[in-house]
Amino acid sequence: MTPDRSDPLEGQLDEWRAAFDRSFAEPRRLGDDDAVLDVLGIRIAGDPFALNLADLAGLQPAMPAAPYPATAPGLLGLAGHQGQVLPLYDLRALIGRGAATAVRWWAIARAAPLALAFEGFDGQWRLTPGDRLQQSDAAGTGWAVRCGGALRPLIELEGLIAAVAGSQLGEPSAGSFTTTTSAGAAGR
Amino acid sequence: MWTFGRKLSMGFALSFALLLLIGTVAYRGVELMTQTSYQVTRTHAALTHVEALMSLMKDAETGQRGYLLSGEEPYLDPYRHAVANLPRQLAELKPLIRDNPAQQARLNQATAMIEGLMQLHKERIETRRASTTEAAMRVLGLGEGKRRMDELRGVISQMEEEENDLLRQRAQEVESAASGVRMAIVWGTVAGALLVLAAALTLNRALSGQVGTAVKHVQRSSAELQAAANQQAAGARETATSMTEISTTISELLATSRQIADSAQRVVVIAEQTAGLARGGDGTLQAARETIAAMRRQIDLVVDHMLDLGRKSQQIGVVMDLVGELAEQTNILAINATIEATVAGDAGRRFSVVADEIRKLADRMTASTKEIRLQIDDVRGAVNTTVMATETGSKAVDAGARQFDDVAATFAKIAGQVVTTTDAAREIELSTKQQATAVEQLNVALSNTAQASRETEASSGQTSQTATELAEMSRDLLRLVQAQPT
Repeated sequence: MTPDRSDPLEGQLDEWRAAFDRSFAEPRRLGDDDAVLDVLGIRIAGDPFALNLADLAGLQPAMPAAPYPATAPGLLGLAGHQGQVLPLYDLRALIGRGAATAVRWWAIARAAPLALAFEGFDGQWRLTPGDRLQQSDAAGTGWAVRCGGALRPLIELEGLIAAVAGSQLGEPSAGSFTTTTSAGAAGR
Repeated sequence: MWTFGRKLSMGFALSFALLLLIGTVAYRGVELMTQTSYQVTRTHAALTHVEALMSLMKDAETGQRGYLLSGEEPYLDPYRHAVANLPRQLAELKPLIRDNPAQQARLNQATAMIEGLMQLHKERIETRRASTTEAAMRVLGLGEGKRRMDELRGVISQMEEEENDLLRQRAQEVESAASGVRMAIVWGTVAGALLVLAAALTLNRALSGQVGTAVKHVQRSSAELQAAANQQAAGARETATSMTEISTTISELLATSRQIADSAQRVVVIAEQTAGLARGGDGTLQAARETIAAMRRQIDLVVDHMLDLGRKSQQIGVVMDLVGELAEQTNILAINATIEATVAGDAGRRFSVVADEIRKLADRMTASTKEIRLQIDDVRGAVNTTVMATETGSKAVDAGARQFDDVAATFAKIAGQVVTTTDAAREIELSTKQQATAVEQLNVALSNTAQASRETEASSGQTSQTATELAEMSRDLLRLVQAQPT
């Protein structure tokens, strides 16, 4: 029985085969890699957000956190990652959206030894610079990325980590995390 | 009270006994007289022979004397005659006095005397022949012969006297017997006359009394019999009329019974046809029931297959969960590889491309898994829907089967009822035929009864006529026995 090429699934299969083969045939675009932005699409309180992959040191499914007797805001406990014990913070609490009900993912920050817990993970996108848009009203962040046709506010982890470090040092914490341009990060 | 017949029989019996008595007495008297007569005759014969014997002895003496005197032979003829006849006379006399021993003794004595005399006569005759007349005369002069002769006469005379006594005695006996017979005849006649007179009086009284009373009874009974015969004739006429009416009604009933029998026969035919149709319907129902059962089995098979399909879809879902999990883990690994490539800087850029390709594949795998899961969910939903629909169909088939069972049971009941109806109709037909036969027999019996009633009426008329004749005969008989009009 010959496969029916009119079937959408068969078409998609052919498309995927062609794309896979093409990835071997096309020349490497190593020179353009500076313009490439890898983002991680996540979901907090049902809303889509994005994290810059360059800010992260790892991603793993959430596991039960070891309780830690501390009253730091957003601290969920201790998390283990590749032989390191890291403080686990609630990303939703850190961006001022209240406490998370059920976290399923941990993201390990690269800038500081801490882990961030969030609720949903939608995927990863490799974006071109044209997909990064400046936005003034996107939940307080200054930037948004176009992932799969939809805009996602880009969370600036550097400010959040600084705020956490500041609160741990007794500095007054910011009322809301600051949005910094990812130009620097993107520019690294 | 003695009956008339008994009195009559008694009168005849007495008369017969009297006649028998008279006859017996007379017969015995005659018999006695006859016997006596025979004895008298024999006595006379004995007297005759005694006298003949005496006469012969006289002849012998006379001849002997004449010869002695004369010497001439012719004088001896009486002697010779006596010699020749004496033995015969003695032989004939002996049986005549056989019943009298005294006479026999006398006869023996006389016989000896006769023989002695005859011997004496013979000797004298011989002597005479041999001698002379004087010598003979001397012999005679001796008187021996005379003495012996006298003795013989004495004996003979006794014998004659004896026989004469017997004759007198027999005469007295005859007279006595004749007197008895006469007495019997006279007194028997008188007694018979008296008896007949008494019987006549008695029978006359009985005739005019008992028979008259009986005849009057007969007259009254005849009148009653006549009245009863009239009533019986009237009743028989009414009975015959009623029987005729009943016979007409029974004929109508017979016609109705035959109509009922015909109707019952038609009912039997229709019921048998209905039973045949019911049996055919039962067979069709049975076939339909088997078809429904096969359908039920097929539906059960389909349900089993669908449930199996559901279970296999579930297993495929589990496998897809596994695949999804692998895709997700691949995706995470690709992301982490990208992160590591990013950290590696320029050295990691090539690896970053491969990691991105791996991530894309993981994404596609995840998307495909989601689609497959959707498809599987659709399949499972379709399977569930099909199973539910099939179960609904199965329930419907069950309900249909139950309804078919009900219909089959109803058909069986109908068939049973039809059989019962057929049997009942047959019984009705049979009973009605038996009833018709019985009614026919009843009709025949009623006809016979009507005929018998008519015959009874006729015989009642004859009875009435006979009663009338009997009454007239009774009057005649009463006139005859009473000699006066009633």
